[in-house]
Amino acid sequence: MSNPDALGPMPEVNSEKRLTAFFDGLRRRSALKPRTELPTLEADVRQVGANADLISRFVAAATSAGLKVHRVGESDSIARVREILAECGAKTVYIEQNACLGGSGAPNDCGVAGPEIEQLTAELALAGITVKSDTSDETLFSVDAGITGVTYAVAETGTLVCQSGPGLARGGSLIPPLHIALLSAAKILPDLYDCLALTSAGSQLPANVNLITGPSKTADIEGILVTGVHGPREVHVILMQNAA
Amino acid sequence: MSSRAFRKRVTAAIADRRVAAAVHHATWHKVGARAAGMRMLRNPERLRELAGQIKQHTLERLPEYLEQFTANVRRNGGQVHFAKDAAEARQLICELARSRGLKLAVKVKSMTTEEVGLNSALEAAGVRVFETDLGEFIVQLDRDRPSHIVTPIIHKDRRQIATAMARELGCQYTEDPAALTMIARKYLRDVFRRCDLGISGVNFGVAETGTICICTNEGNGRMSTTRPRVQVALMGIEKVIPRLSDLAVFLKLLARSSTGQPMGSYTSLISGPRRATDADGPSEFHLVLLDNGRSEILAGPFAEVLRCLRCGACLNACPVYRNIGGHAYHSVYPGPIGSLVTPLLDRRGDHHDLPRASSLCGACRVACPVNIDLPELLVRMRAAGRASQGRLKKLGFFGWLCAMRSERAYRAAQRILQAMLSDDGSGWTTGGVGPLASWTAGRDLLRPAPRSFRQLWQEELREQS
Repeated sequence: MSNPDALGPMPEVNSEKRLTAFFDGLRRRSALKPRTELPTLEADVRQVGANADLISRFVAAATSAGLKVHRVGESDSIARVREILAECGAKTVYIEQNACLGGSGAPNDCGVAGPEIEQLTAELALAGITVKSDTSDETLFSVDAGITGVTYAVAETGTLVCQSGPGLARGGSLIPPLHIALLSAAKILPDLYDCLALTSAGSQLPANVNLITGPSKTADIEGILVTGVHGPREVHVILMQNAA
Repeated sequence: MSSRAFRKRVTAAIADRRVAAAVHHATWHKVGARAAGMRMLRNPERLRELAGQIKQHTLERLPEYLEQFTANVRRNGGQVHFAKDAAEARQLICELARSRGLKLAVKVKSMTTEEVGLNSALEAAGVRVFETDLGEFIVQLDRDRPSHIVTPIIHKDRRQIATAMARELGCQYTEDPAALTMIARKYLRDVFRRCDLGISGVNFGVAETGTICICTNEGNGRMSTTRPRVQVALMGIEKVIPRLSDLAVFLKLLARSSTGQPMGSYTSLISGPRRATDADGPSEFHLVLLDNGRSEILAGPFAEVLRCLRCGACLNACPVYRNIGGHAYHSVYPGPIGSLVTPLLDRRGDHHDLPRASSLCGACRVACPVNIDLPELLVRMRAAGRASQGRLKKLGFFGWLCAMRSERAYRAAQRILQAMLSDDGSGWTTGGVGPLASWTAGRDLLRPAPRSFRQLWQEELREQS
């Protein structure tokens, strides 16, 4: 492989045939007999049941993973976002356009821009914050914070699930140094198992589903924890509960 | 790799106090963190059992699951390639870069790309390659080699890292881990902004959905699969699992086994290239399925090693790894699992010493999240490598066999050993003479008693009669 000019044509056109030939060979040669059953999982895998106090479990797990959770009533969410931005000195923000910030609790109901976003955008602009909603490199690499919705969350691990889709940029929760996620308490699922079962239930997965459990972190240098390596240094979760 | 070369490297590794201390500290820390992480689970042993069972089930039906997986990757809009060996994998990915005019590649930490030696091939083909995992980035800057599957710079301290970064990046010298990390962040941000090719390995390939799963803590996995316009994932054929819900089992064990965390910061489930309406993401998704000796392993008596998740738990648990570090193994895959995988993947190489670099204490077996019986396989591997043992050693074992078979020869051997093994007064002997010297150099033997039990017994009987 020293001379790249000597590379033959890529076997891409033949890949289907090559794969089939490989699978056939594998079948002929494999010494293993199919005797191990594929186990059923739910009962053994589940760590958190549906009856558990999902909100406290989520808060505990997320906090221990390094997420900063703010419990607010639905009407206080915008004020809390403004406070966080002020505390962090953030002047420009990206807001995900199709995020479902409030949410009915139907986990996949994320396709429509809710009125909350317009309200959030307007109130932040009033507070002197520059709000951007385009997903260009200029925006994502320059803003101080990214505000996104969450498809659902997992109580067991304190995980936020963010999917790609129209208006849902993968970079929004990743590139800005500060990520603020708006999560309606109704979207918290008990166990990682529920989250994956639900994700696979649809006909086709979104191109990108991210399970976010903490800020970007490393311990590569002498085992010392440092946050904000390539992704956000801080992740704030605005956990919205109905007053009832 | 000859025995002498291996022994020399091991001796040198143990003598390097700085590296030895760093590895010792880091591995013990991880052993504790893993134990704490596992204790949080309701039923950790059952989960390990399930994980092993799912992997074993998949291996037994590998062609079916691979067929389903590749069909679904295509259905998601991805392209699937097959590489039968390392050279083909390099060739495929280099050609992909050439045909699309890609010049700047970012890499997610991946043992498989390490295994096929991808970086140097891409560089030779005119593609700049950047490792983006902090540890791997430092390894690349310092022209070093990773010494741990998960923590590549476990053998380096902050002074060495600071020196390498100041020298290669021309930045201010600092030993502060946070400051060093921020220097790397800033440097790689610019790379992420301009890159056009993203290369990763695959932690799991889900057959039922055609999804690949990539786990990172730093976010480099997400960056490298979000920013470039072309994404390539190099996946060993053994990485496939049947169902998305199976991931629940593996994810609960993987990070805990690696670092003790219940979950890593980022688990990305990627199903093909960006959709037409997506806001961002790569427009091409290529999966390169790599055999490179795996199908041969599957056809042999060591198929169980293909369950491995590359979590690194067996390295941390291993008293030998903890003392000699990763470089002494002279292999991409060090530690107990490496001592099995290396000879299996590189059949022409001479690796017969690796499976012997184990005390067979079983700590690796207890730590393994997919229940691989590592000590049993190591013993089997030792037997398989019998042919390559030194003639003198073979002669010695033959002699031992003869002595054990005949009472007379056994007694004669006892007397010979009594004469040959020196006594330093402690009752132990470490300084054998002649051919025994190299054997006792690494093993303490109880010195044979001056009078054997048999002699004492005979004397007793005589006195009584």
